[in-house]
Amino acid sequence: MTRTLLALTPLASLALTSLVLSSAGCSDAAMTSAENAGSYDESADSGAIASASPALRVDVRPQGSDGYLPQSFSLLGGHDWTNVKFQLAPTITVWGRVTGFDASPYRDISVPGEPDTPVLAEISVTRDDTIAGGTLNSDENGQYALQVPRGGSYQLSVLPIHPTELPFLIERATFHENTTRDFDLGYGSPIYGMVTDSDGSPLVDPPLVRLLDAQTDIAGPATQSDASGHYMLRANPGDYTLQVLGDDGDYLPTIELDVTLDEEGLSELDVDVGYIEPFFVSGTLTSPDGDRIFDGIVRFSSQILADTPGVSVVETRTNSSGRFAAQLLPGEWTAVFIPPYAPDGVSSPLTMDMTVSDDNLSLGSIMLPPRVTFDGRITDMFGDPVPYARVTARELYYNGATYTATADERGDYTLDVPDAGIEIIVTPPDAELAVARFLVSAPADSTSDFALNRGRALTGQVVGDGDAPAPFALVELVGPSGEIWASTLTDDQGTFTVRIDQ
Amino acid sequence: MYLSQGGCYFWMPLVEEQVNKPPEIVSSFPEPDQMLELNTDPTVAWVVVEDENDPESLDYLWTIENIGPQPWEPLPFYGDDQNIYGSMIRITPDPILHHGRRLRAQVTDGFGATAVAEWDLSVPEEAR
Repeated sequence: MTRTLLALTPLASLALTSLVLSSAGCSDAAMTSAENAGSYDESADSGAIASASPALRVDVRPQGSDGYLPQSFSLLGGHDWTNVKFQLAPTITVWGRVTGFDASPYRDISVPGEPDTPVLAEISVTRDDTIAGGTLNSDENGQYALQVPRGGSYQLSVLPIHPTELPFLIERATFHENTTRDFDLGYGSPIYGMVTDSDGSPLVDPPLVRLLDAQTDIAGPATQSDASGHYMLRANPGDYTLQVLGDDGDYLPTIELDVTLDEEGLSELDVDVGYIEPFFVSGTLTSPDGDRIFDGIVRFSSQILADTPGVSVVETRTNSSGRFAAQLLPGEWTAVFIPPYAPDGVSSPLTMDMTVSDDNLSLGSIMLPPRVTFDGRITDMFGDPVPYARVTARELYYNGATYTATADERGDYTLDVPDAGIEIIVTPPDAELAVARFLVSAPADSTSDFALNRGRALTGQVVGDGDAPAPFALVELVGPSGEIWASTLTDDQGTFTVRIDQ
Repeated sequence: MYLSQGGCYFWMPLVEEQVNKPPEIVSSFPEPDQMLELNTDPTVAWVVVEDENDPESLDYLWTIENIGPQPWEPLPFYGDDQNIYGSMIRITPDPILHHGRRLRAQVTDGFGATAVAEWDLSVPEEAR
């Protein structure tokens, strides 16, 4: 029996696997050893990936009935990619209770408050550069039960939802076995101050204020400043970024200030958001046929704001008459207009730069450009047509919408695509040819004939406990920038083959 | 009493009758009618479809209740069974747009026969 040694591991366990990768040979004994060594992460620390050669990530999403959770593996470019075994880590349950100090206890009004109060919290678990993790909320008793693939290098955050006036918690975590883990958020120390405009007056629409952990950029719970401009947050000692931001759709800029909370606590920080006087920007969105577009997205992003620091993003949607209106601050803006997704729609998105001065601005009727017909032929490396290939176009610069067509028996396909930058993914009908990606910056002016190559094959098997195959799992090959090279399914034996044009 | 017919028997020319086997959703994530927790960005759902006579013609329509059609991606299956194919959707969770809504995947073959799977969407309450 020939079988390749493991050329992959869960991302966080490369240090462990490098030993395996350095071995060669195909004996059963070696294979067994390799499988055991590379099955899943037991104790590795984060950062091991940094010294590895460029790797392709393999994301595996088992079907729900198998009891395994999505997880990622690293596939090193210099190694054999045949008969690779992807050993799924078992699912670990972590449960416990989130508590904190309630300064305004509901049950007992005694001062100074009540410790160990149950907290409704958002609990998130992530693992760098992997798909492992997820988010859930504790219940009204503060209790939660979380499931993750067994392993280390997790980043865990606990954000209070109610009560909000509590610190948030960020920890590294390793989960080896089912375990209990309670979180006491405590009470922390206050960070407080006022948010005002340049005249020192509170804002008409009180903004949200929150802290971001300086190391991870994880955002804590947001609180709204009151009518007089005051806000108060609570946090444990550490380095943070204080962020002032408007509600969704609000014109207020997002302003960030660095803040360090030491053991003494009680940090006062006022924020001047500048001169705030918004103006209405309005218009009507129509299709190339002149029809008014309902539920189109209109997104304004500030480039330079005239009278205030920070940046602002305002998003609104068109009504049934195609009309939109948003309040924006004076400055230079970029607007994007995105029609609602429709496979057989006729409109393309549009980008427009504009200046908002000291007056309301009507953009009038904005007619979106038409889609363009992108038709061509899929061939192999010898120029022979490839019938029944799937051609998928994905928007690059808007909402990432996809449009799909199937080539006919002559390899010909037709696709109406937005007249904007797209990524074309050609998926051959069998694993004899590679899935190929092409970037097309201007579909109207670009060639649409694509030739597929043999590429490089990855064959493997996804297995669970006791080498039980994982059927119909989704397997995705992800490039270094997060781009998806290919997707496929395992068969009923958990095996799969996919070729990529690498 | 015996009935008898005299004369010759003729076989009419054989006419091939095309019997369509409708598509069947043989697997999915999540399982049909289960809750799809939108707790990662993106959250992925997929269907695996078997169609015996025209798998190359399968077309998919993913919709979210009250929102409309959603972009989807083909999901090839390179196993021994050439009649299986798949389709997947990536959803960026939005508590306002998605929570409590129903996701529907409909697959239609070249003869118009369909198969459907549905799920309820759930988005955890945000702390921010």
